[in-house]
Amino acid sequence: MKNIFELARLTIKMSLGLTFMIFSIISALFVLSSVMYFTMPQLNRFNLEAPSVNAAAMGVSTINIFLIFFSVFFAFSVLSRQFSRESLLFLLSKPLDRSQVLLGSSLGLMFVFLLYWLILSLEVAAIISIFDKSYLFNALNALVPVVLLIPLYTSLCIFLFSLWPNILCAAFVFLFIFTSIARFDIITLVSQVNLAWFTKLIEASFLLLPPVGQVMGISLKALGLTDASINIPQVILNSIFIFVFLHLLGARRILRAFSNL
Amino acid sequence: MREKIVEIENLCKHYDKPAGLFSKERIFALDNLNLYIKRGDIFGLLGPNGAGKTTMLNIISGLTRQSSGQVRVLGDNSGLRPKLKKFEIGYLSEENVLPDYLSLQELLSFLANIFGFNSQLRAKRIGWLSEQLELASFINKRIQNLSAGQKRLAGLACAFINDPQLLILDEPTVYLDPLGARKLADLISSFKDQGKTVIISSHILSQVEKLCGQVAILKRGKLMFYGDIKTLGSKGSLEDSFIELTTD
Repeated sequence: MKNIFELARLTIKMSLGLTFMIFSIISALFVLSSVMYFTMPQLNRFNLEAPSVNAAAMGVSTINIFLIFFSVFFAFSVLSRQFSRESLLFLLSKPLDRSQVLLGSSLGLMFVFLLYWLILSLEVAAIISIFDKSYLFNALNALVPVVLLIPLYTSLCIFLFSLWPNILCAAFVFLFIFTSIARFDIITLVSQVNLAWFTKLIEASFLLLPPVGQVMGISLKALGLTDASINIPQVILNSIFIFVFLHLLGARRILRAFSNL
Repeated sequence: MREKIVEIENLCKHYDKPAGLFSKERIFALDNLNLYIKRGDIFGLLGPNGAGKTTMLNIISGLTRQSSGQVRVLGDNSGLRPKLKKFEIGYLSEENVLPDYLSLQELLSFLANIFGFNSQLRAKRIGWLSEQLELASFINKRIQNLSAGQKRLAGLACAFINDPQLLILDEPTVYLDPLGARKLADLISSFKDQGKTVIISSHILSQVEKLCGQVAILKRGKLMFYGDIKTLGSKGSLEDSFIELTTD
């Protein structure tokens, strides 16, 4: 166990570099733009919600979308560095085994995602508390469930990395998850132009990864943007199931691929 | 009688290479090798490029599985799991790849933690290595900013960190200047004096001649010579014997 934490520390050190900083700054700027809902009240006329609701909703969706970008493009580069033949040759010549390297990388990545989520969530909370302190509790209730997406995205990256460890796959993952999350909007949009096959494709991707949509449902409910009944323990269980399932599947393939250097 | 620290019996390693749509060609990287290495020996592994030296070292260090045959490492401890054996093995690979986002100090601390050293032992060991390999001038620099020679010294420090019983060095003097090579030779000699075993794969015959008592020469996975280096050089120079054994 100690070795796994040491490897996780190694992954964190590898991750917290310039790319992490650039990603954080860009996404922080996007989150910051939610201030516009308070400074330009005419923006709220589109959906007739209060500025704090719109600002919090924008914060939550920005975190989620950037988390996808971040997990896909960032996690893939970290995994491909850690699981290169040369890097493994070095690590495995020490008293470490392949499964420890994989678990350490996964744990390290989850910590980096958590740090990223924390930075952006604090920013959203700060914005809400500056402009409308009374709405802070709701905003926090919407931000916390996003944590559930971190292990989900990590396991998805590991699984897809095991299938096809290159950036094309990363792009595929991005489309896959993005369509899962944005399914309602896209389905509405697409059904108007009557592209039934596309709607089915999106629905199928939603079926493959239901917890992502469900987690976002919890956040939207906390903001009062949906009346749908959501069974939170069930969502947590689904997330854990998908996390474990994808992790095991990915781990099995990666460990097999590197069983003989 | 010194104990055998590495025993290799009928060792084969082959790869299947696609040769057409439905057929495969079997390539033997190692073909029926038999040899042993005794505790306290400095053993030289020689051979032209592609002879199978690195494959053999990877098998001994537990990084690659053999296709058939027996490999017993660390004598009586043969029952130990490969991961536990690695506590007793120091390995330097031919490729000079280290986690370049760390400083050498951080890397050595990471490895010391992996080997279960407490903070006192860790500091002592890193201090000793820093002195022996003259790492002080670059120990706090990021590995990506080091020269090739400094990276090689860093790799050597990583191989020595756990004070291993068996040290496996694949082309250790590549990138090292003559002074660095001399220091390494001295370190290896002192290692032997402590009753530890070293396996060196190298192309530099003069260095092997100076350091090693026993040598094996491989050619396309086959053992062409195995024994005392004095027997090998008795008919002329070591270089002449090497060329005679490894050319078709």
